[in-house]
Amino acid sequence: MAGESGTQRRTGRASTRRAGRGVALAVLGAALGAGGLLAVAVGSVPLPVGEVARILAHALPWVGAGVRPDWSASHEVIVLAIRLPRVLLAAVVGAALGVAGGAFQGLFRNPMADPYVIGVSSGAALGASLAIAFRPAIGLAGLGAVPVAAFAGAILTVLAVYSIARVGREVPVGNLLLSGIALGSLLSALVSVVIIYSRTSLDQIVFWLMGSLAGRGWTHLGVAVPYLVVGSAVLLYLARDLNALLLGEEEAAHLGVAVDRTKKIILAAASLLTAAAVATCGIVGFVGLVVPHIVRLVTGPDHRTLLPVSALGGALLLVTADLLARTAVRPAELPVGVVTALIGAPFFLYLLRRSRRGGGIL
Amino acid sequence: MSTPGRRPAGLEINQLTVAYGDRRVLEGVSLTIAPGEFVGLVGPNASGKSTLLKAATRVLRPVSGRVLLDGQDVWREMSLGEMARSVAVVPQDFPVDFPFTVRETVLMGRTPFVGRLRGEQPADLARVRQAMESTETLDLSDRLIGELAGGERQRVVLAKALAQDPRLLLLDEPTSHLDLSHQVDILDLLLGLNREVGLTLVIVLHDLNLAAMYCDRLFLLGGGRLAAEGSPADVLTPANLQAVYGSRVLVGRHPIYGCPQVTLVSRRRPAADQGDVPVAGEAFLRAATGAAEAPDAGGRGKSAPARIHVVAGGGSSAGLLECLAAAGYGLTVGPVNAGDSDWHMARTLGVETVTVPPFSAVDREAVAKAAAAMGSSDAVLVGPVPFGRGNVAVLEAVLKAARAGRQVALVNGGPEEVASRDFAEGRASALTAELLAAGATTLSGESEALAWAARMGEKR
Repeated sequence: MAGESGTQRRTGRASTRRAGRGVALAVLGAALGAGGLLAVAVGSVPLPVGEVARILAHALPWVGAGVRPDWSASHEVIVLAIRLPRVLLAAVVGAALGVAGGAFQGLFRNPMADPYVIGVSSGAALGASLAIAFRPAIGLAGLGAVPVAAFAGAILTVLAVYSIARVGREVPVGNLLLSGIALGSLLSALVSVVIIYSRTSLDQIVFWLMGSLAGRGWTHLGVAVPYLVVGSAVLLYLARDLNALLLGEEEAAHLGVAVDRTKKIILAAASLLTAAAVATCGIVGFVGLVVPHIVRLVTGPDHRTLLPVSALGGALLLVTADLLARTAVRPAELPVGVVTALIGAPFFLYLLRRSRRGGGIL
Repeated sequence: MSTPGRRPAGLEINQLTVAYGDRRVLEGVSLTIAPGEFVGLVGPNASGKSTLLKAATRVLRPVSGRVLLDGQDVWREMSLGEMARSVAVVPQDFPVDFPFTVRETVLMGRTPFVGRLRGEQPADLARVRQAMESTETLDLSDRLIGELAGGERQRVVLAKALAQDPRLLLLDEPTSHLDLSHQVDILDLLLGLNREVGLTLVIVLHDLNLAAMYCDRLFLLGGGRLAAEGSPADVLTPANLQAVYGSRVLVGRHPIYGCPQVTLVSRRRPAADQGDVPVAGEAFLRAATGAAEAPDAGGRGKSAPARIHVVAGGGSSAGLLECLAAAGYGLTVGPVNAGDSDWHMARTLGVETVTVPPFSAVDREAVAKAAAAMGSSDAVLVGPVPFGRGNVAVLEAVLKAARAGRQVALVNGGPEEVASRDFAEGRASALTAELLAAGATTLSGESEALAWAARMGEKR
C-alpha cells in the first residue's frame, strides 16, 4: 500500500464521498412507494395507478372518508385483499432479509455471510419439505402446516448450531460459521432424501425452496410482521455495537461493548427475523447477501446507516422482483428467488467492477 | 494538545495469575504504575506482556489477583462502559478490511460516550477533530483506513484511542510493523502526550532500545513472572537479559541520551577486525558461546574469579578487557581518556572505569582513584599502554601497589617493548624495571594474561 501512486490515492478519496443517510433513505423511500403502487396496479387485471391510489387512500382511517368510491367492488377486492398484502409482505420480508444480512455480515466480519449462514434456511427447508410431503394436519394462527413447520425447523436448527458452536460461555463466530455450514449440508441432504421419497410433491418442494410470495395474504403478513418489526428494531438499536464489533471483539470490548451478550442478542434477533421471513415466503436468496453490500458501497459500513438503508433497499428489491415474478412469464409465475438473483446479481457485479475497493473484502 | 487532559489514572496489578485453559501465562505478577508515568513492558515472546494488557483491560478474566484502576477493581467494581471511558487501548493489529474512512474510524473512539439513539454531539466531533490534529491525521479524513501506509494507519489508530479521552492509554507493540522513522514518530508523539498532558502510558515493546529511550520505567517479564523492574538502566543489564531471553548481549550507552542500548551477539558469526572500534571480539565470543578453552580452568571451581584492575589507555587494551570480562573476572579499569577505544570497550562491558576528559593528562585525583581501585583488587594488569608525561604517574601508583603486596603483571613488559612506547623520557622504562624487580611478571599476550588471571583466583 505504501507504494501506491498519487493518482490511485485521489481516486480512493473520490470513491469515499458517500451518500448521506438522509438522502439514501429519502430516495429509496420514494422509490419504494412508487414501486409498491405500481406493483399493486400491475397484474392479470391491469388497474390505473390513480385508481389504485384512491382505493388505498379510501381504506386509510380519517383520510379515507374524503375519497368518494367510484370504482368497481371487484377492483377493490383485487387491490385490498389480493395484491396489497402480497406487496406489503414482499416489502417487509425484503426489509428483514436486508437487515438480517447486514447484521450477520457485521457480526461474522465476513462478506460471504447472509441471513441463512447459520442454517436457518436448511432447517426451514427440511421442515417445509416434510410438511409438503406428508401433509400433516397441523396449523397455527390460521397458517397451514408448511410455514409452521418451516419456522420450527429454522429455530431448532439455529439452536442446534448455537449449542454445537458454544465453548463455555463464549460463542466464537468461526465455530458458528463452520457448524452452521456443516449442519446446513446435513439438513440439505435430508431435504433431498425427502424429495426422492415423495416424488408427487417434487414441484411444490422445489418451488418453495426457490422462494415465492404466490398466494400469501393478510394472515401471513399478520403472523410475520411482529417478528420482523421487533427483530429489525433490536438490530437497529445495536447498530453502534455492530460497528465496534467490526473492529474485532477485543476492540469492541475496549470501546465498552459487552461482547458476548451483544453477540447473542444479535444472533437471536437476526435468526428470528430470518426464520419468520423464510417461513412465510420460502428461501428467497440473494437479497440478504447482496443488498447490504450494495448499500455499503454507497453509504459506507456504518451500521447506523447501513441497516435502515438496507431495509429499504431489500424491500424495494423484493417488491420489484415479485412484480416481475408475477408478470414476466404470465400466466405462469416465476419463483421470486430466481428473479432477485437475475436482477440483483448483474447490478451487484456492475457496482463491484466500478468500485475501486471491490477487489477487497466488502 | 490544547485541552487539558483528564486527570491521569494509576494502575495497580496485584498478584495477577492468568491462564489459557490449564496453561498459566502469568503467575502472580504485581506491579504499580503511578498516574502520569510512561512505562514499558518488555520481555521475550510468550512472556505474558500482551496477556497482562488483556487482563488489565477486561478482555481476559484472570484466575486470581486484582487489577485496580485508581484503586477501583476493574473486574469487580467497574462496568465495561466505565472502563471504556477511562482506558483506551492501541492494539497490535487493527483490522482494515471494512471500508471505514479515517474520520469514521476515529469517531468510533467516541462510542463509550455516545448515546445509542442520540448520535454524536458537537462536543464529540470537536474531540475527534482535536485527536486528529494532535496525531496529524486531519488531512487523511476522507481516506479509507485500508488505503493508508503503516505509519499513517498507526497514527489513525492512536487518534481513535485519544478520541476516547483516556486517563490511561495501553499500547500493544504499536511500532512493530513500522519502519524506523515511523517508529520514532509514534513514540515521539506518545512522549509528547505524556509530558504535555500527563497521560499515563503503558506500552508493550519488543524493541528494548526504544523502550530504554522513551520509558521512565520498565517491567521485564519472563516466563509469566516479573523478572525485573526499575529504570531502564536497572532493568536492561546483561544478567537480567540473559536470564530472560537466554542469549548473550552487550549493553552499551546511547551516545546522546545515555540510556542503555542493547547489542546482540551472534553465536556463530566470527568478530570482524574493526581496527580502532571496539567490538565484541573473538575472545568474547568464544567465552560467550562456551566454545573457548576455559581461561580459568581449574581455578573457578575452587574460588571466585579474581578481581583485577587493568591499567589501559591509548586503545591498547580493548581486547584484553574483552577477554577478561568474558571470562567472568571482576574488573576495574583506568585511568583512561573518555572517547578512547579502551574507554568505549569498558563502557560496553559495563566495567567500572576511572575516566579523565579526552586528550587530557591524568590528574592527581584520577591517579588516586586508580590507586584505590588497585587497592581493592586482587591483582593489577598493566596493558601495553603508551606512556607519556601525562600518564606515567599511573605506573608509580602500580609500583606502590606492587610494593604493598599486590600481584602485578605487565603485558609486553620487556625492556625493549616498553622503551618503544616510552614517551616520558625514560621514566616508564625505569618504573617498569623497578616493577619487575618488585616481583611483577611480564606476559606476552591475551592468552598468557588469561592464564595469569586464573592463577590470581587460585592464589586468593
